[in-house]
Amino acid sequence: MAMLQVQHLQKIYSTRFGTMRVQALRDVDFSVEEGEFVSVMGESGSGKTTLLNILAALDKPTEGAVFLDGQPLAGVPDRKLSAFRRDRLGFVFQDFNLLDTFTLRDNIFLPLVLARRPYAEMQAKLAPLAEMLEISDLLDKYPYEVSGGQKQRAAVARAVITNPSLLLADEPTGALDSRASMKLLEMFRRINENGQTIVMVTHSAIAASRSDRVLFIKDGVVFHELRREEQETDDSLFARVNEALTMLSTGRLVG
Amino acid sequence: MKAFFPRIAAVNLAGNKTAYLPYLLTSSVCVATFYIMLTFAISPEMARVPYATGAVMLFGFGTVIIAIFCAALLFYANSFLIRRRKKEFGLYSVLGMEKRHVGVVLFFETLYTLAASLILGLIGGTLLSQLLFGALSSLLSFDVVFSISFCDAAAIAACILFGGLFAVIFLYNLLHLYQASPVSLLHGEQTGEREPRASWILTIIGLAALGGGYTIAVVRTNAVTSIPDFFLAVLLVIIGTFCLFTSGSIKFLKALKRSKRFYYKPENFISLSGMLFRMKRNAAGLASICILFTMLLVTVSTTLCLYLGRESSLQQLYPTAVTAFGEASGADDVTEALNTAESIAQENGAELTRSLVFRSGTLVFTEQDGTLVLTQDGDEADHFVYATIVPAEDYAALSGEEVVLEPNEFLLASSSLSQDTVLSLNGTEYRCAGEADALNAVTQTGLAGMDMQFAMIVCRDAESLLTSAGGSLTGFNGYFDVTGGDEAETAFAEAIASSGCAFSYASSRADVAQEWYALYGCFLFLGLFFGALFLMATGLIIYYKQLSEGFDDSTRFAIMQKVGLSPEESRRAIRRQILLVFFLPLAAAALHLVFAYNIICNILLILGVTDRMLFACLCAATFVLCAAVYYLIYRLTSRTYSRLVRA
Repeated sequence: MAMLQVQHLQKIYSTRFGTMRVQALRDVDFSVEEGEFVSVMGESGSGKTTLLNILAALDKPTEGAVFLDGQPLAGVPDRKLSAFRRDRLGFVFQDFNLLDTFTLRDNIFLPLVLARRPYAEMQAKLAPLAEMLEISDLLDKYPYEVSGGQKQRAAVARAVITNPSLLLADEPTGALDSRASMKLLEMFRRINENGQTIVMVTHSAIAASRSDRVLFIKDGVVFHELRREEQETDDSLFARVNEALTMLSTGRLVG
Repeated sequence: MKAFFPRIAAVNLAGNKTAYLPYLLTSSVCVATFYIMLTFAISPEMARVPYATGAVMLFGFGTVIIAIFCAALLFYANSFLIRRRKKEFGLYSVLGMEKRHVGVVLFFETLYTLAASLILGLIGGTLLSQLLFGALSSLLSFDVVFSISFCDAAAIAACILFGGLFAVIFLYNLLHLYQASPVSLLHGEQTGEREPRASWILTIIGLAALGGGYTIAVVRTNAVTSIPDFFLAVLLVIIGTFCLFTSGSIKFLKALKRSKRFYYKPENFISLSGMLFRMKRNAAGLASICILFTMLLVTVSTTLCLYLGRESSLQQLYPTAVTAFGEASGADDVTEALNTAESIAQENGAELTRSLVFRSGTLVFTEQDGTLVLTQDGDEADHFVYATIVPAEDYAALSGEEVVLEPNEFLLASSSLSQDTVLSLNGTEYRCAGEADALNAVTQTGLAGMDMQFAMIVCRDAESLLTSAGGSLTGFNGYFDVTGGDEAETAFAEAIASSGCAFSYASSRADVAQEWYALYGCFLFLGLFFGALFLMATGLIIYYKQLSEGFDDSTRFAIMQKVGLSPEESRRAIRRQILLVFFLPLAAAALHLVFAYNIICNILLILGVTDRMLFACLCAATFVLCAAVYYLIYRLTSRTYSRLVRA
């Protein structure tokens, strides 16, 4: 049974008076197994963000359904939606979205505090996580005192501290320099190796080549899919992703 | 193309109307209040109001205060507006407008605002001055209602003052514009905020100042020094309020944050850290609200109390219809004066229903455990007793009683000293032999425990007693009641002062009452006027606070909702923070008022109001009323905040 099942998603936006209709997603259909690290690639306007918003239960599809652990997202009542997102999903954003009035520690604790967990439990969960993400020394600093990469690692800690079923990352390396990006991707790999399922939306071929599987979206459908071969290196996958991208943009790749 | 800049300026003002409309309203109200106050101070109509000379002076004084207050208020509002618009100015620069051009746009904006506020303010002021003049007439208890006309001198003064103010504001904005680079303007609003740090020194200074102010207000009970004491206490409390709002609050919040169990709860987690940063940014504004609100409470309740208590305070100072004073040269003066008074009353066809005439001398004693000793130079003014020494023979004549006193005995009339009081003078102890009933009516009231007491002491051989104590029996007092109403009383007072007897000065209560009412009426009028102005200022500050808070918090709450804060939870958190922030000044103001109660009572006592209960009730009523208005302002403005945060 797949961790995440996305079935025939269709999303149509219409302007306020219904005169203009934009089809953001035509027919998106895929599934993610537990423990998988999947990248979603596509150009601007390909429907990536819409897909992510639907996966995050921030938006509702016009047609089709999303199942997380076999549970349909559409079945979660509105008033429980916030709690659902908090407990079952973790988010990492391009612009970190850390609160500037909190220390990194408190930023990471935020979802646990909202879930009313006792302080001792929070501490116990944070310690190994901070160790793994190499931010143990930075916990009492404020976001403006640390670098972008460190901010993003804190944001990752905040996303996974609740042990979510699924970690959704939206261009996590978008605001980082190449060194910080590599380091962050390394962290994603580690988290994934600990069993965390990850879906990452990205522009970057390097970032995508760190995952197990790459989905290419174009004009609202999953256009192409690459799977890491047994023992395949990152570099090899990177080459294949680049190849696919070139073909995708020149229009020579079909199906 | 010529009209380009003026048009941009107009579009800007319209586009920023959530921020500019209150600004325009405020400056219009400022113009109106200034115009009205000045009109009352200089208009020839006011000079025709009977007994208004004192009041007109008060209005002149009020005009100056309003001018200063308006300047401060407009500067505050402007600095808020300019901070908000930095980004816009940056954008202009990036789009290729030179600073010079932005300056021209700013100039037109300022010009429009000035013109609009002058027009609105002067029209409003003219209409309102008619209405207020009517209100003032009824407060002053005179019936002639005539209207006050447009005062061009006041209007011109308002144009000059506000023209000047806006010019200075414009220059200030220009200076800001020229100092900043486009990039810093673009990011002007989002410079990373440091964690607030509170200094122990400021906290301790704040606590000490507040404690000192409160102590002075509560412990120092001497009525004579209460006015300087009051200003000292006010100064200390203002310092204390500012220090504690800026530093103490942060120390307190940090202490709360240190308690893990308390801090890591959803309802406290968000509010506490939000509050910390909020206090850092808003402490000064909140402290100003607190001070303004306290001033509002004190001004309104005090002037209201003076106005309502005017009858009793008049009765206090003028126990009889006519009061006369003069210089006594001998015992014969008493009989002569009594005869004169009788004949004047007869001439006027009135009847003398009471006449108390006696010689007196004044001595100041210090009370120590029920014993009065002569005050030495340098004694603390804390237990002074102002004693009027009256010769026994004069008392016998006026009371019609036979007075039998031993050489070391005296009769006492005092509202606060007991009959066991002992008088110690030149090594002799005098003891009280009874009450001087006939003088009770004309003894000034002090309050027990209040350190200004009054006593009338009747004794044998008053002249030598006074001389030995360094005084003299030269005071001459007359208290008369005559039939025939106010006019007869006034006529009697005039006649007896010029009759050639020992009285050289006389005044009737009826006469004084007019002036008294005019003065207290003006006091109340000014109090309410300033009260309204303070309230408006408070409202403006709250509104701008809510606006800036809303802008700042909207991003914060957007993030929290992404991370899993439900809309309901975020609404609760918002409400909690706003409530805390805006009701903190109100609570502090109430506390200030409670501590100020005692010292204000003392000041009121000097002004002749002895009714503490009345003042307490008025304080409570004023507080409830103003708090209600404050709450209303808060409700109205918090809607703006919620809209910003949710958007």
